[in-house]
Amino acid sequence: MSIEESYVCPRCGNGDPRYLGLKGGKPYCRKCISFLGAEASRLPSSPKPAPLNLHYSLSQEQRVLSERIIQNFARGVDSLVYAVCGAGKTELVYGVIALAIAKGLKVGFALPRRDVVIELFWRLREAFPHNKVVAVYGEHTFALEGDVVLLTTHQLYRYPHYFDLLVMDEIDAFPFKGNEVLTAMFLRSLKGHFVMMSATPSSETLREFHKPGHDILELRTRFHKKPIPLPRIILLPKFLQPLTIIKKLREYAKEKKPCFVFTPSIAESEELFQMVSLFAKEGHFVNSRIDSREDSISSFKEGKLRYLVTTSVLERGVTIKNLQVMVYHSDDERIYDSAALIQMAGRVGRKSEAPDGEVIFFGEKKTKAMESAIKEIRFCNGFL
Amino acid sequence: MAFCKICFQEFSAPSWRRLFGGEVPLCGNCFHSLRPSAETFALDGIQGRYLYKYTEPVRDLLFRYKACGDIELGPIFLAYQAPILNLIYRGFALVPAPSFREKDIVRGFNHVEEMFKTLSLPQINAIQKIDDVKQADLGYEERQRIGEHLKWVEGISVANKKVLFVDDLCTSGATAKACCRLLRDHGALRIEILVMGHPELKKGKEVNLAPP
Repeated sequence: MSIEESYVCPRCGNGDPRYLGLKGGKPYCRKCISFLGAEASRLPSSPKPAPLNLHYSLSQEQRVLSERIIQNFARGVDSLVYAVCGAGKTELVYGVIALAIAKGLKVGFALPRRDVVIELFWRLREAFPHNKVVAVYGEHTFALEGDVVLLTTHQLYRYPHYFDLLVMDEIDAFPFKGNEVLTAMFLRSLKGHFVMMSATPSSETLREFHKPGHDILELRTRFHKKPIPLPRIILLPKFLQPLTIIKKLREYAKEKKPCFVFTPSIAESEELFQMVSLFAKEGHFVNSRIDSREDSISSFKEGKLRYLVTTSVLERGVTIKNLQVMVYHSDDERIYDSAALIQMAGRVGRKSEAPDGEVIFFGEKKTKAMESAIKEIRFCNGFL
Repeated sequence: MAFCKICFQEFSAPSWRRLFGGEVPLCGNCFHSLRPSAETFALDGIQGRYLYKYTEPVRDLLFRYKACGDIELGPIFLAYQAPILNLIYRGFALVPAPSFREKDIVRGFNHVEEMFKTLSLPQINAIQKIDDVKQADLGYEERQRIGEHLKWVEGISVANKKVLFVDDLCTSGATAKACCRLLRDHGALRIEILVMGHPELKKGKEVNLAPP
């Protein structure tokens, strides 16, 4: 057998010869070559108390599930938390994290997107004020070790066979979803057991968790026991959609309601904002190409901006009080599957003070993804 | 049929490129996504040519090639232009921009030599870099002092030769200027410059070329 046929990358497990490179006659893997950087040190961590600091108490369902996650972890079972958007998934794992820190185990919390990592960093630090929470993401890799390592899935390669407890959130999100290298890096970083969380797990994930040694925990209602707002579909030609968006934005501005307008692509976010901003003041646009998006997002949260035109960067992990959501060109099937639509709709009504809101999908036609998203939300609301 | 070195998809080279024979390591789509542009510039009265605007895709690729050491990316930059460049620069000898030897050893190859191997022109390693200075970390003024870190390799002669100075990037032009001065002092008959990437300068706007 030649080198090309027999080489399997020791890091990502890739054996496809098209990803094989030769340097000085030696084979190397080109699939995971860009994952290059320092690895975490392997100093053993010592048991330390991890008192939880929460300003609110968990609901009955949350407490039950939190207990079950702890039991699963103790008996070596991997858990999948399948809970609707706004159910309070993050709080469910605080218990098991506290337990693992108290036992001196290595704890990791991985997410696909850096914006969400930054957002969650503050929440985790507030919940564990006496422990060291470190955030690790691209260009922010100064400290790699802590009691809880919060990281993007792209940084998992720094931790081979490291985590005794690994929480994986938003597993169905880009870029983790369907990425073979990241999946390999996830499995490689795992030493103990994991807890996966998602509002919209793929059928493959669900199938995987029906095997022995896995457990699916479902939470179909939000912690405040109010239904998830059902999206409304407005069918309009694409060039007329901005007009209705402008009209709605002005309405929301009068009622002092913040609003997200989602667009399928970066170019469309800029185009739409140029048009909309002529008639609706106090807004901005964000996308992954803008480095200063943190500023826009924080001034939006402070209420200085009334609306944001955004790509899918703000599709997940964002909680803003009394938010309204509009999705421009939501019939773009290449970008918007039902999971993405459910996630965007799930931004609305997440706070118990404002459990209601409006979600509007603008499209030229009704797509299958829209229908199944609405069906899924209606199904979950049926559990109330 | 072959696999593209960038997108890893199967492709066949465009028919016009096949006319010139040989294999190309990247597909037409990836090539165009790098926004190739063959434009000329002048530096101290020396004619220069660059092949790509230094945009994000080029920057990412160069990072992968240089910093991650993905040597397979070496031949992709000049693959499509090679036939015409071989004609334009017929009779020239290449002088690659110097790089610090220890760095090449860590990387496993010299990135400039590897990149310009695609051209069927002889290479002369006439200039050495004796200190580990990285131009990208320096300001404009400091960049101009690059000459102090360069040394002519003993026993190499370019007298009465046509030489083409080649480099991956040309930003402030300091390295190229210093090297061309050395080449001229050593009696080169004619000097021209060929670089892979050149920053896209907008009017009145300074482009920040910090490394990724």
